[in-house]
Amino acid sequence: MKLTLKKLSVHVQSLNQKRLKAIGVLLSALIFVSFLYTRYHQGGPKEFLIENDDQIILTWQNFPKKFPIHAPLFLEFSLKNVKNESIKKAQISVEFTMNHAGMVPLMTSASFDGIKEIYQIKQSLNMHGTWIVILTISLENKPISTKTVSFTTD
Amino acid sequence: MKRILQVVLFFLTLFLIAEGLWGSNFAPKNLTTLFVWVHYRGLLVLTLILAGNYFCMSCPFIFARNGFRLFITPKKVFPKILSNKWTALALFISFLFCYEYFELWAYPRLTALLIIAYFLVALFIDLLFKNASFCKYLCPIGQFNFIASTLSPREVSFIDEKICQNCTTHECIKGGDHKRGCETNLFIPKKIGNLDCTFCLDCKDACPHQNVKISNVTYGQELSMTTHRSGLGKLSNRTDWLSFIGVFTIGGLLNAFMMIDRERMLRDFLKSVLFIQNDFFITVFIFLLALAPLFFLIKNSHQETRELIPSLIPLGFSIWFSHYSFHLLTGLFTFIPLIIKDSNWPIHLLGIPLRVVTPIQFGFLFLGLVASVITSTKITSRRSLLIKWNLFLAFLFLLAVWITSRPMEMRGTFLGAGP
Repeated sequence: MKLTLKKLSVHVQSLNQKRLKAIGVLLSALIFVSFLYTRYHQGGPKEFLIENDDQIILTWQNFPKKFPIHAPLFLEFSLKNVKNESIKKAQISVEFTMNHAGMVPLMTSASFDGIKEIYQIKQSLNMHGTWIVILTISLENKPISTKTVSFTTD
Repeated sequence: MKRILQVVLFFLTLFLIAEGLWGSNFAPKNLTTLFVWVHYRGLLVLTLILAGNYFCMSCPFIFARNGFRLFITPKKVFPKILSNKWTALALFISFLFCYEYFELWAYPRLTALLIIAYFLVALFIDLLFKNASFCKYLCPIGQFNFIASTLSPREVSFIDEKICQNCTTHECIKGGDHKRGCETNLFIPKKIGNLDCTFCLDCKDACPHQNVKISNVTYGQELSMTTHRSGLGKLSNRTDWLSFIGVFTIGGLLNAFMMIDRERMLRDFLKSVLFIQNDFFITVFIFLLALAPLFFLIKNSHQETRELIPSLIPLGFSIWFSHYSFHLLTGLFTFIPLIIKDSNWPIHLLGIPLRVVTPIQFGFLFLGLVASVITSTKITSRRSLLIKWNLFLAFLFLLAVWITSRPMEMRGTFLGAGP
């Protein structure tokens, strides 16, 4: 009987220790989540593909209706400011990507045709599906702006 | 080690929930979609084949459950009518269906909500019912791991059979000295293989003779054993398990097929033939087309064919491995630019090139076929049946090769911007 009581007391002690550990883990988890919440909510929402600049107007000059893969794709567009003046010689990096985890994007840049005053992108697509093109436009003394467009291959 | 792995995965899961809910909503730029649908799945199949069912061992849901069980003791026994694999199978098919229909790979928030739902259901079930009811009867990932771990090189087993024979207290299954016994009802002296074993090592902790260990076994040796298994019975008598093995194999093909260009063609064809434009019904139809004949065939097959069904597992696993390793390897380092901003990590080093990945995929498919054929020849010596069965295996293999060789379609879903 004594032995049983002793065992029971050891069990209660160990249970209490385990409960304390469990409470410790739960509190750590809560602190961790609160920390993450604060971190994520610093600097405003992180929604993707919000075009942050309406000062730059992008107009597609050549946007094909069909998009074959493993063949050269040509896209042309012009950039203008709100005064309808052409924006020349902007640095434009172009990312072809898809909304799929683990997607390795295709990176290129747009070249400027000074005569037509348009920007050109040449890229060969390596996969079927819906592509998202993200243009990152850098101008001197101006914040970087992004433009996006999507299309589906044949 | 178990506790460390559980703690690490628990906090990693919390981080993934936070990242999914509050991080970028664009899948390639979100660590939740990336880690869950690319890295986790790839590492899971890799660990299963190279080591064992260590992901079940380190399950964060069970870690949380064990914590809550210190305060809430479940009283009820899981309903007998549900004490089989049918509910888990339904959940597994639903999981595959939801993955396709809701395009989970493209939605970080949905992925985070799925993890939360998993936590809640696991906690609810295991705080209501005794033992590992969630693991044994419900968890779709768990069942996937159980089936795949039949190919693992490790299993939990006794050290000395004589000690087990002389044991009268059976702590490994009953528990003792306030330690849990096997909650999935596997009795160590009669346990065969890894089916239903979560690698939790509760049996090892409970055994007063320290007679339980993780031992090395030959890959897939248990698949040719047609004898009675502890906690399961004879596998060929378990239509639920056999159906699960069938769905595991065909589901692997279906999951891969849904990523290639022909899926879209089939979808368009079905829309024109059935005069249904609704994607939900078309997806249901594709699933029915692929899986319904399976249940019919398994239900109506005779005993000898049923004994052969486990030999599907190596081929089925190779299909999953081929698919998941593709995503893992081609996007292996895509997390680096997300963790280290402005890392300038070269684009071509984000993943392993296709010229390396493709031979791995085909090589593994071929290994799967060979292992399945060897297993089937170990199970039966009836020549005519064996020829038919191996032709069926060859057909599945060719189907897998065809799917793997088709152009990939990432099925991007962004619809927000147009010219």
